[in-house]
Amino acid sequence: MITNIEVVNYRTCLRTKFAPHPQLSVLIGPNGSGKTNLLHAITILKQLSTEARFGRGPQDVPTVSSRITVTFALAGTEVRLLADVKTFSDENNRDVIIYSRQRWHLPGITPPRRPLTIPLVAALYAHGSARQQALFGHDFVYWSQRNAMAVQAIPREAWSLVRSVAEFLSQMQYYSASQFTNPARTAVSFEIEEGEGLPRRQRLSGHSAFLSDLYTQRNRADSGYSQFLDIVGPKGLHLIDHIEFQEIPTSSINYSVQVGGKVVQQTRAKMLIVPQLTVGKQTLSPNQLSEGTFRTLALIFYLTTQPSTLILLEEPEVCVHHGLLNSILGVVKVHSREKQIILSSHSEFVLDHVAPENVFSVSFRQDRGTEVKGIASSLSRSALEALREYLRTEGNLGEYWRSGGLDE
Amino acid sequence: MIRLGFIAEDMSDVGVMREITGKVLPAGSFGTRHFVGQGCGRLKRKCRVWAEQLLQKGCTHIVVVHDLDDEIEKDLRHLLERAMKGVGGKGALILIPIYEIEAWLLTDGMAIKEVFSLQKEPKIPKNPESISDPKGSLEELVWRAQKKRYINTVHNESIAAAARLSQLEQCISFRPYPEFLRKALPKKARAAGSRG
Repeated sequence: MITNIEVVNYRTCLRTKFAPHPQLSVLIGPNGSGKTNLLHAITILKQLSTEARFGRGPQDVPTVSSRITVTFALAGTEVRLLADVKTFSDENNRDVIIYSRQRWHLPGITPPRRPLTIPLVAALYAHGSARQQALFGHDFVYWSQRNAMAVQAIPREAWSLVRSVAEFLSQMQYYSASQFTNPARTAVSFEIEEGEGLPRRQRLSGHSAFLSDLYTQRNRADSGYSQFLDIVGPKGLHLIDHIEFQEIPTSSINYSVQVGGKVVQQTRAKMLIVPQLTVGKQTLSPNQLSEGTFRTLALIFYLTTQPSTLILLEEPEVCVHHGLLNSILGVVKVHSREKQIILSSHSEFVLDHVAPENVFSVSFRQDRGTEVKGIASSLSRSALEALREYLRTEGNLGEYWRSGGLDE
Repeated sequence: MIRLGFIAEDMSDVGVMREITGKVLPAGSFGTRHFVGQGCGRLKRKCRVWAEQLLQKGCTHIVVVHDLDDEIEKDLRHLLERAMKGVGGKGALILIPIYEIEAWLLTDGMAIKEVFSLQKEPKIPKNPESISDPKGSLEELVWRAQKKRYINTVHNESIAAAARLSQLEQCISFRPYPEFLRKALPKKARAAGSRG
């Protein structure tokens, strides 16, 4: 889990420090204070663990150099990562990393002032199969050839610690406030190709990716899918009664012409998947669900079924009635005991359901950028006790916030 | 027609109370309205004005449900009784589940089995009211039985719907409720109920 993070020179985060709660952290603050930027900075770490960027990329775009320093607690060991990244924002405001360097302070392995350079992806795949290494091919070869001597000198324990962090980060999940909204955009079916074993998912995104993941999870027949149904089905929230996937075999024929003019015909077996949701007596396509129902189904599905270790969740209250939000928060709280969850919110209702130690106030000042303060840790012992007494006898944290009680 | 006004900590508590009420009173003989505090501080501060609002909305009886948690029962009851003093209506009841309302739900293993489609009935604690964390205990019990996930805000209402009154009555903090409801029934309905 992440115990400390410092983000330097990334959007509004000039030098932003944040020590998240080991289980659940709720970021609150005005619009533009930098909550989303802080979450985006954390997602850069996931990119570093899944993509290799070692000095390549376009030279003619305006770039920003940032540093993200993170301390991880791994089974009693504190590991510190210094990640230097050079990024630019693409047309969708997504960060594209064109250069990165990851250095590590590893207790008992690295001297205090001499961090060791190990890319996260290298730690994940250096001892992996040739196929895994091929996943980031040129980049890995480029890095390992340039650093062949250094790679040889890296102790095995160092690889192991960095690999643990890389695994943690690669499983991180991020859900933006707009994700899964507007289900009318959802396709009524999707197509999969027959691969080896389970059908291989095509490149899907957003709503369709959720339906495809739902279908895949159902076919896996593990406990995750039944847990999901327990929560959203008739004995739980009763958002739906039943989910069915119609499977219609199809195929496509491709022709290719070889040298000499020989035409080769390739038939690819495919399957058209049509999701159908039963709600009462009605059978609905996913695009007929309400926005709140669709978003809740997706959030609960990913919270309950994915093996993530860190979840970043932006404004879970969007499009959701407070009765349902209460249940989503119940799911979030239960899962935060196993997965570190950091969420941002503008909702008093969310605050009503968490303790002061889970709440972090985010603010922005021109000269200091985004700042994060833990509500409980920034209060004196007597002030915190007074707040607890208020919550026991007088009111809720949400209304305390709205009334200015958490303002500086 | 009895119109019950619930004042509780959250909606899942209201859901539990509605389901249990249906086990005591004949269907169609009661209606409910509610206010929820989303926490105990607001419930304590607002319970009087909420009770008055509920009476204005036509409620005949008020039921305040407040988990004991780590408070002292005598003090909590005194505080709530003081807040409700002279509120009016045909009757009011203060229920303080020990330590949480989930203790009531822990009394019926068959109900838990049904809600989570467990293969066999889980072993439930002998005295759920002696457990300081009934929510956690219920969660652990369901997980141990079949690696299923209990979430109070999701499943409490369904467990209450499946629970048997005779099992719920094992909890001392629950017993005043059926009694209160029976007394609230008009004499005619009570007589019809006893004949039935």
